[in-house]
Amino acid sequence: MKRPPFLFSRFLSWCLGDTLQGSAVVGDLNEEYHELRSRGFGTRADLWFLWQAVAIGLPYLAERLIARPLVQLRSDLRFSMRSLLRSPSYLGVTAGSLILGIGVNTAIFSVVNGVLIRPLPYPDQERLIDMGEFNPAEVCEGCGLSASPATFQAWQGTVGVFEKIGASTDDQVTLGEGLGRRRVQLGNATPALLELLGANVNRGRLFSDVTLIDDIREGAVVVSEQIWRTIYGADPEIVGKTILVDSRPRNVVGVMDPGFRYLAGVDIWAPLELRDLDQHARNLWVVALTSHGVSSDEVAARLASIDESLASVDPTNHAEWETRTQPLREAFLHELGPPAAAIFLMAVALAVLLIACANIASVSGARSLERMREMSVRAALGAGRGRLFRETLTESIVLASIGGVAGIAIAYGFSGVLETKLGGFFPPWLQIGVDVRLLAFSAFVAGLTVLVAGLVPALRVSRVDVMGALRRAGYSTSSGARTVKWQALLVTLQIAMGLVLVGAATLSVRSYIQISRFDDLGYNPYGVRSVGLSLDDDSMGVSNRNSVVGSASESLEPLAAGRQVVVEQERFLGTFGPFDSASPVSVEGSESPVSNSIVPRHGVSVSPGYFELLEIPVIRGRVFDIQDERRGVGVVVVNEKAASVLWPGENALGKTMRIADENDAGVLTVVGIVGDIVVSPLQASRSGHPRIYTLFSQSPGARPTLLFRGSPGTRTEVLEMISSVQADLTLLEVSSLEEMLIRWIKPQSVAVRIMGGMSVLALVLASVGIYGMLALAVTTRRREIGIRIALGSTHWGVARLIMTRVAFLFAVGALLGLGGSSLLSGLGGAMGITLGTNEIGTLLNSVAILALVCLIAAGRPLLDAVRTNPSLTTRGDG
Amino acid sequence: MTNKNDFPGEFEQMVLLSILRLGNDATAIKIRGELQQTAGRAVSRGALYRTLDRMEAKSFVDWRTVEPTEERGGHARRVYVVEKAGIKTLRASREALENLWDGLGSILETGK
Repeated sequence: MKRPPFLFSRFLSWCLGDTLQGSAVVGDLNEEYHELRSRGFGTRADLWFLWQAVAIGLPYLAERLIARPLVQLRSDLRFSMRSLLRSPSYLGVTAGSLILGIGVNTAIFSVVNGVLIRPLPYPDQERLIDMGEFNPAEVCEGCGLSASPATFQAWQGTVGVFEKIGASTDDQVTLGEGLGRRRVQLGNATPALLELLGANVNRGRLFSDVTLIDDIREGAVVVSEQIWRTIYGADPEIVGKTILVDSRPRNVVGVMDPGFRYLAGVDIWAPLELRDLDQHARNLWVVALTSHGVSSDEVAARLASIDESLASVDPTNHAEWETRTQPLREAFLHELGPPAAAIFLMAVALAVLLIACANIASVSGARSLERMREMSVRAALGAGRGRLFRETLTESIVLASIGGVAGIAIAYGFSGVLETKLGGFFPPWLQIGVDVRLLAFSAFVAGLTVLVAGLVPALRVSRVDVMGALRRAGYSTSSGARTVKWQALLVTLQIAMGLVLVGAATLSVRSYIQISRFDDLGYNPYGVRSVGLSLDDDSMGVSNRNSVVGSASESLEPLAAGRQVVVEQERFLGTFGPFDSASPVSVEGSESPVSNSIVPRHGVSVSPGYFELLEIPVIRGRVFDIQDERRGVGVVVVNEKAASVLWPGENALGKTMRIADENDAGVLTVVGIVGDIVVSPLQASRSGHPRIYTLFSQSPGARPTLLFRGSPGTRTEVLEMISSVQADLTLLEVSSLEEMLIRWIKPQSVAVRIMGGMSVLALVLASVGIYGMLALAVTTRRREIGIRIALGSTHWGVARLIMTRVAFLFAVGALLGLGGSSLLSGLGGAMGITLGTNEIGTLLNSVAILALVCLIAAGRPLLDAVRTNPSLTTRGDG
Repeated sequence: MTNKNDFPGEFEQMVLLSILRLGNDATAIKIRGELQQTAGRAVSRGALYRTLDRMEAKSFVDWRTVEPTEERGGHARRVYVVEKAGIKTLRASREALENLWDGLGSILETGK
């Protein structure tokens, strides 16, 4: 008898599945096939069979491969969700751990990534170098490299080493006129600088070497996108319009692309005119793009030869200076400070992730053992092992998905908060944002933990010995020595990590307390109000300026409650707008070797009453008084550091000096020596810098700050009070020294809050994990406890047995944790942070909290077990 | 109120009635022949098998196997029977239709 085509017969059987039903369908087709053949259809019968096999088989195959699994998946998902919702605490702890693990980690890593890993937003960034001049006699902490126009022009002439070299400076200018005028930041840059940093415009054009002469003559400027939008209402016709900058008409030639990030907060860019600058004042920030294939040694050699030729031509200005270069990235990182804080934060975030993973593993393990009996019952009732495996795994996938999606949302939210809170404190080149690779990594690690934690019980369930498990269930669900070891390891790890994190947090809180204490800065900032002003006409003569500033001071006297209002040049003790740090100071009348040397000038011009107001102690001599102003004799006050640098081993009082850029002042006589001050609470060295104080009334400068102790006064009040002189000056800021200091340390304050939050989080997570794991470990020994009691052990004896083990685990974990914390505090000590009694107390409290968690976790099921009748526990009903 | 799932579809009704008409000999091949001869409805084999599977899932029909023959390649033959639920659903369907038809005879005859 001729058989139907074998291949298609097999295909149909395969499509229908290996069932009796399928077999009957194949049989029917066979029967009809033979009938056709008996009626004389040969090949047509074969073709008929072929067609029927495909027409019947394919819909069955589609159902088997697609529709049925989908239905199964839907049912599994529904079952998993129901099962998870039945255990809200398990769902909460696991999903919470996942969410926090993924969210916090990704956000913190994204910031750290922005600081340490992400490349600068400039083309060819690996060839960009920061250049400047360095004088070994002047070590300026935290100062970047800068160069004088003379030196920059010598570098520009270098052929072959640099592909491009550019320079910039920045300044504050008044934009507009009348009451609508405002102070804005002006960035002056050479066309090459903008080109090598990849600057672009939204509309109009940038400056170029070709148009430079015309641009300078016509006062061309490029405005930032921000002021184009905020001040000019995104005027599409802005290019070609004229705007007033410092009362001078300037021609807008373009709008800068907001993606260009270099100097912080620049509102207007103008071409840098080197001829207008003091050729020897080192105020230029220089960036160069080295030529392809030129090594750093070649660059150094060429620059050294330029140094030599400059020193031979102009020894006065160049003999003691040498060129230094560093990769631009390094310069920027240097500006950010040591990367230790970022690495520290990263380690903490990683520890939180580790605790979260340990938590998930321990809680999932506990749940799987708890559900073993339920699974066994279902297996006994006919649930296939594959189905049980699938369900358990689906539950893990559902959990991983919930945690993953919410974790990603938290990561974006948290990094947004970080950017909002800290954005203003980061340099413009730093880009914070969730890094997708990091997000994927965190999600992968946490998701993998959930899957593994779910897979192990799933495999266990699928291999479960139904009857054995049912018999054992209720007595013990322990899976042997390996599980016990894992439990012990997880508990120890969580205790240790929890304590290390608490240690880290206390250390960071301590460091914050140290920097936020403003009582050892050498001056008293508390209660000092500050009103920053800016004279609109920079060229105003000193006497006119004095009269305007005097009027403003008098106007503010009501706020000072009759006490003196003093003046200092620039904002905040001269910090925000330092004088040219390289301005030469000539010392006369000294026989010491440092005589006539050039020393750094950290100077500020102040009015009489300044030292009394800030409570800066007078060490020797006197401070400025009204008579000094009236007499018009050049006087100067120096701090102890300056006195010891300028006149080592001598009495500085009565000595004279000249300051090169203060021609009006002439010879200045030292009338007093005051105590050193540390302006920034973040300054690593508390020894202070040499500072020279000149009389405000004798020094030029157009940005006075009025200081007084009294009522705060709002901006509107201050504006009203100074309205008589408002035509001549702009109110910049109404603040207080304390507020400025607090703002200064805000990044640290946010970091400390993050650390504190994370350590509390870690402690809670660790406590939950430890509780779950220990409670389970003791519960699984119920039968053993019952047997021991039945055999005559006392309750105390059994309790001692169990608790000794728990105490051992706790001791190991606590020792590791405390060891880690002391290692951290050692690192902190190296950075000048010492733990006080409070911090050690916090650490010990955390040890106590974890000890209590261990005691309750093990004690509750233990008490329960010893109180239950042994006959029940040994039978498995208790 | 009767659930919509209580009523069989039109094709399901036809298949159930064909099985009843065939008595003890209701194999898939015969059911298909019966539908074609009696109801004048040509159906594909695939559609018939899937309908039979569906009605089996609804407990309208059940089947027993008959010894395989050589021409069936050793595969068993299924003979279908209508279950109580199937009879019940047919009855409900018929009653519903009769209720709906009640009083509409003249329209059917005159077409008005």
